[in-house]
Amino acid sequence: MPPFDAERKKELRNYFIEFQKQRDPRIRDILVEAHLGLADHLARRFANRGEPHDDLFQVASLGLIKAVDRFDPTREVEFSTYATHTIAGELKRHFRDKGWAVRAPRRLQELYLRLGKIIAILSQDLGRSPTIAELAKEAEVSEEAVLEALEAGQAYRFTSLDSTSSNDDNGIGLAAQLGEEDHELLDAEGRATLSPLLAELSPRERAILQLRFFGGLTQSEIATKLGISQMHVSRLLTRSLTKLRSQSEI
Amino acid sequence: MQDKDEIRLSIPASAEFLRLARLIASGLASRLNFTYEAIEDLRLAVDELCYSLISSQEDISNTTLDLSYLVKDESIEIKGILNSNNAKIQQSQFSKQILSALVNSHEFKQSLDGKPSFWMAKSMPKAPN
Repeated sequence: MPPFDAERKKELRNYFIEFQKQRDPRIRDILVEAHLGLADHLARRFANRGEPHDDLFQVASLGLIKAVDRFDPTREVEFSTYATHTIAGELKRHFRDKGWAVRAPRRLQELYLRLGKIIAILSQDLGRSPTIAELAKEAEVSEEAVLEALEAGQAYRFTSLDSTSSNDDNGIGLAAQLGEEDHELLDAEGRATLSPLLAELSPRERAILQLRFFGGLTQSEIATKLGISQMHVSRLLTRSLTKLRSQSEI
Repeated sequence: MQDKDEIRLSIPASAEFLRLARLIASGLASRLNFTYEAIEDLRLAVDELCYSLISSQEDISNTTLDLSYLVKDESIEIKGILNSNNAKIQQSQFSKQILSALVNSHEFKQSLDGKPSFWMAKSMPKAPN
């Protein structure tokens, strides 16, 4: 990316100062547009990981907008340095959230959905959580296939596939069902850090997180309590933790 | 099975490759007859531990994460080291709480040469045959 000459730099700097004062969306557009080259450059650095450039460029552009919004021109930091950090963070988060999910083969996705039912049936029959060998036998596939399907199914994006099938995020009923357990969470310091993050989760996700990690219930106990499948509990836990991680870093 | 089998894995320190870390953990645990539920817990734990190492450093490009899995008779132990000397582990209380619910024991420390590392152990509440 060609660096700006001194005059252009000065001009942009003035725009930043102006934008900080007025928050004028037109100035914001000018600033974003002026730095799209940086977004493009960074998107290309992440290009060899199997994601189309257009998608990455879009993610990088969102990062750029965030950077423009948050940049403080009175500090002794170049905008490009600041923005590089923000945009790279956004791109990394994109990959982390997507994981391999997008590329999970259809057969694994189907197997995953089938396993959900088998786990429920076997857990009931056996009176305990089934082993992988038992699942493989019942599904008539190899243990490796079971493990791969479980891995693929956990991934973040995939969760949208079947989350509508059970009354997901049924907030009101659930909150009533669980009472006011939020207060038991962590000590004051932990609460202070965590509560804004937890607020981003749905009531159901929050409740499951709490029951598992603070209430000491197992995944299957939570499943019974909430009347959803154990697989669903597991997936919601994974999703919540992923969300919490990505928020606490940026 | 021998008393102790050790498997080693070295991956770029990036979330993209944690899938492999989880798959190996679940594969080995399945060999020990861990239940589905125990395996899901193990996978969450591996994620949490590895993320903690990876996020201990700003720039993780060109950094590797070395994992070793020790398979014992009824338990699995996992060690992880981030190959970086300028990363510092800061475990949040929440992370501590999560891990204590998922595995039997775990710890984070700086290894002797200053690299951040973790260790964890999970044993099987055995499925009756």
